[in-house]
Amino acid sequence: MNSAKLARMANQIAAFFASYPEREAVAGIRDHLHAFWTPRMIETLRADAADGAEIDLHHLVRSALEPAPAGEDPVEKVIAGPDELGSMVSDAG
Amino acid sequence: MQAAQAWNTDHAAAIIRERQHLEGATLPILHALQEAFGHVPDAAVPLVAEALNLSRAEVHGCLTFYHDFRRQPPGRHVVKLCRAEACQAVGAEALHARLRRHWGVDWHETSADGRVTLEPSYCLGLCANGPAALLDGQPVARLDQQDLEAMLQEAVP
Amino acid sequence: MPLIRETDYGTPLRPGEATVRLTIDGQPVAVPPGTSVMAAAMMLGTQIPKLCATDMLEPFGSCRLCLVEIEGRRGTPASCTTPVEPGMVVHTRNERLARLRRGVMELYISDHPLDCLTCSANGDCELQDMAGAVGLREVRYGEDGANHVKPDSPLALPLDQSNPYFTYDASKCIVCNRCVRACEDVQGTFALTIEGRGFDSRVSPGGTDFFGSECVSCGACVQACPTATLTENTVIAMGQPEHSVVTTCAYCGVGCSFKAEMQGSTVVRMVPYKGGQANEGHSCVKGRFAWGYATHRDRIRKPMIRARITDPWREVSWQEAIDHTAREFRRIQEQHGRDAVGGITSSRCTNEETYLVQKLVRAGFGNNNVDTCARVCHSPTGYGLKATLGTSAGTQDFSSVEQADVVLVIGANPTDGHPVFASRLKQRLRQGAQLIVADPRRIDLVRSPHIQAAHHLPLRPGSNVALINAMAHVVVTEGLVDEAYVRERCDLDDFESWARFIAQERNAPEAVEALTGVPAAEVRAAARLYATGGRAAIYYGLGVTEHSQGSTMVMGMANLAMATGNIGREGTGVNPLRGQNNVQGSCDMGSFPHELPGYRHVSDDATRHSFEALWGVELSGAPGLRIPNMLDEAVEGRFRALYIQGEDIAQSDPDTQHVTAGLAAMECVVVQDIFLNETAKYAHVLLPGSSFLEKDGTFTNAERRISRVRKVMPPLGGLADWEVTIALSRALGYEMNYTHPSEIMDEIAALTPSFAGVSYAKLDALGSLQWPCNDDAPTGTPMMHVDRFVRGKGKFMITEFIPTEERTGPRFPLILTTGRILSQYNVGAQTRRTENSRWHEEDVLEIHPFDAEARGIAEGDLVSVESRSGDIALRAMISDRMQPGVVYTTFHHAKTGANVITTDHSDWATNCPEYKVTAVQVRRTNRPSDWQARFFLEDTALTRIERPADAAE
Repeated sequence: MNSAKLARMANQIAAFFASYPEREAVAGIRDHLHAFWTPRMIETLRADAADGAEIDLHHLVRSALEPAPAGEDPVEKVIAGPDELGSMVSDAG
Repeated sequence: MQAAQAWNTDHAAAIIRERQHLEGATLPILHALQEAFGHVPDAAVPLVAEALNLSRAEVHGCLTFYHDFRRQPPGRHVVKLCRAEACQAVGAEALHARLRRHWGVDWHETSADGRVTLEPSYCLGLCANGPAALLDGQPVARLDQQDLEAMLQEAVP
Repeated sequence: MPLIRETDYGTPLRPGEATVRLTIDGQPVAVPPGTSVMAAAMMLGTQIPKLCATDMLEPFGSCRLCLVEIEGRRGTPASCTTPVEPGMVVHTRNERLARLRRGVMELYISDHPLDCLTCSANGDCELQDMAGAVGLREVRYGEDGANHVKPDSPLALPLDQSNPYFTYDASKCIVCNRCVRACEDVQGTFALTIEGRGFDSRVSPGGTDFFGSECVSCGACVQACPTATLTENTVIAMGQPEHSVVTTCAYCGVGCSFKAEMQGSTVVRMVPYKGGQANEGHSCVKGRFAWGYATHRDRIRKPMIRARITDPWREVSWQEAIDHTAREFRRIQEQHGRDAVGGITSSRCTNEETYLVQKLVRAGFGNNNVDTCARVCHSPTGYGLKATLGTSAGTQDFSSVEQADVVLVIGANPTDGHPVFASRLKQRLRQGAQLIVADPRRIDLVRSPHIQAAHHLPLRPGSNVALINAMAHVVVTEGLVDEAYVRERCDLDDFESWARFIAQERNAPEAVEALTGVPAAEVRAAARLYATGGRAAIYYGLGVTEHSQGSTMVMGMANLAMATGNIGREGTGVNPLRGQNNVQGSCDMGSFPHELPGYRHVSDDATRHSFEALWGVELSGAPGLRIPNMLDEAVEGRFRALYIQGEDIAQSDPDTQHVTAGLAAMECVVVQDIFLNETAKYAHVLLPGSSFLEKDGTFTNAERRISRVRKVMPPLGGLADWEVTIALSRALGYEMNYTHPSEIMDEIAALTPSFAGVSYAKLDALGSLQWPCNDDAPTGTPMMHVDRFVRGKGKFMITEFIPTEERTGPRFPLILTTGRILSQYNVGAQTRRTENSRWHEEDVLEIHPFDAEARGIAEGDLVSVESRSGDIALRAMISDRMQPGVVYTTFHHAKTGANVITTDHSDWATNCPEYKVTAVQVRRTNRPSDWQARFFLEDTALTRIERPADAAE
């Protein structure tokens, strides 16, 4: 996936979470990326962010890409399984 | 009776608009259209349906249920001959047969020269004076063929 | 099993306790209040003769055959129109009634053709049955005089064969009115009437023939007709079926139940099954009539392979095709890595088949690169409702609409896309429920016979979130929040943050009026109606999800519903109208790259271990590639092989040129489908698929209802889809051992808590099951979130409006939005191969008169539609149901290439493509676009099949 596209997708995600306080937003973005992006996509974006120069990346995304203790994800328990959510949890994604 | 105008969509739409808020508006509208244009053509059906939010089929069903609504423009004169029992008793059927032959029409048809449209009616309430008829909406009684012809000659063409 | 005959009680059964006791022919019976005497008799097994009555329709009382005597009442009342009374004593048979009934039949038969032996209804004619039942022996009226039977009679009408699926023979009509009533009450189209009066009365589709009328060919009239007057052409041609099997339709997400009526292994006709709870005996033109594609000559019956896509296809044996595929996939994985291959599951194949494909990808390929078409339709539903409610499947069943007082339809066109649901909705609207429609176009639901929306909010495409926020703003600032509900059922902190956000001025209807194009007063009135009108339900479709803020909009609707207490009761809810027959099922079965069956994330160790234990291999815990990402990776050379079952991404996915570039870059594209589709032009292996008539399995509809699909004929290609996947998996070295799809379902039940109670035995017993179905809910779950939300407390999410990046401007001043119509279905692969094409032979561009005039475009002109992605040419249709600035087309015909011009913008959360907003320019043209020219070349160049020279065609 090319960097421009990844950055664009990440920025759109950030635009949603930007409505929330910073810690929650960062956690939300981080969880979203880990839930839905392949490891390679995340790595590519992280490498691009470290590069810095060419891509225009929302500051919340940059924070989300750093390994750091998380705030509470507003979109809760995106990755959680039945142990945390109960056996009846399901959605029609 | 007013002379019928040629079909005009805008005029029809106005007639419909004036009446569409009446309860059971379909019939008053159809009557008004026939009054204005002498008939209710196919083109009227979608206009009425759209205005009253009915289907075209529903309007068609209502329209065709009542023989009084003509689908084609009438001739210059509309003659409704009474076919009910009291008039039958005084020889109306034979009179009607002669008239049909004379004008060359069957019931609900218009003569080839466009002069007369013949329609049946069932009791005009002139039972003591049969055979009776409506000539362009005016009741006439104690008819015979000559009387009718004479009246037609006099009538506004 | 023989022909399934469903009991016809004569009048609709009434709900309630059986509290009214009466006696019929000396036998006691107890029935609910409001039941007719006729139905009560039928419950005892007493069939009172009838012609104009049927339990799909309210009683009419015209045929006078069902007369009975009731003690204490004068005369002979009709049992269909007489409701039961306590203590009533009814006699259905005696000499007087027998004479009356014979007299009635004598009159009917006096004006009816007597060619029973050669009539198409021979064996299935209620008139025949009644003549026999009343003991008719002579017709004393003779054959002279006025009649409708003899061809030279002035009252005779010619056969109406204008509709390709059924024939109307007026000479056999007994004017029972069942067809007219069916069209009115069951379907809601009102296309039929009785024209004339008295002896002249005849059924008429409004003065024209069927094809030229308002008829939508749903077939309810054909089903209702007791004689041969309205008969399926297939019955005329083939005769009566001899056995039937209950199965489920393979078109849309309503999932109608049908009886497939057969002669041997040939389908004669499909008759809606009254016991089907999704459709209750009704259907649309597609399910009832358009199943002929299954035996169309285009069906691929032999596997084919080719080295390059420019080579002709070569027919080979199953063994060769499977082995070749397995070899290629293994080679590619060895050379380019485990993640270089993937699969796409089908939303039209069964649950069992989908489960096997994702199992093949996860256990066989060893990665999570599996995705499905829900990506491009309802994936935002999943994300949005999971975040707010904890589960994103439809919250109600369809019958819930019967309790709604206010219905808000957003971005959906149910009369076209979910016709049987729309008929149920219209029934409720005719009873007095109010309707609000939010759609850029004036869809049929806004105003059609006997239905009128209280509010039509014609918003500009791309402004959904602004509109829903404005409505919520009204609710919050005008004190219309259901405080008790919110306090009890929702997270209060989140509610308060959200309420503060939504109350801000920028979310007011006045503030967004210029953006949405909807007058603020209308928005306020609609919001008030939704909040205070009683039980309010939201039904929505792809006009909500296929946007760059699709997930956000879903959350916005959930916020509105929670704030007004409209989730968790009958007649309310947030109801996604799922498109495909099994898209719900395909999502349930773990077709997403980040989820295992049952919607558990792949990274959840506990879940993954349970799968690993049963499947016997280690599974990857990292999310895989979504379809758009697969194509991106393909273009960059890292993704090189794809196993696609029952999906045509080259026609249905956006930005066609990007899709075909991705496919063309791959080394081994395997398409398993019933026809050569657009994607197959770029494929190297073609495996014949099987239609819904050729396999056993289950589909899950928009109500979460799991229904059986039953095999009625052998697969034309020799193997059912699930058998093909098993063969491929074996060849890859991963054994799958199932002898019947029921075993696959048993495995699904073992691994998925919400399916734990599902089995074929239970489905046979109960007919269908709505999941969750397990120990907590052994017979399934019709309505969700009843006492509490699945996630516990409902969560309000902040839904800031963010305009899409796809902007109009001087170069592209109009917005194109896309959708479906009734007669064709999605990419048209099935419906274009049936007579349905008569209704929609090509995709057209609907354009408002102002926009057309400004461009000098007249009706039928060829126009070029150009966007930043490409351009296509198609014919224009001037339509005042559009608004200035918005144009519309469908995507049913591959040659139109509607998706050439859609963009690569997509929902931020799920990558659901933004089909509904494309900035375009429209101008007259005199030639097809370059893409279309290439299409016509490739249509022959990439689809040639090399067949042995002596093959008989």
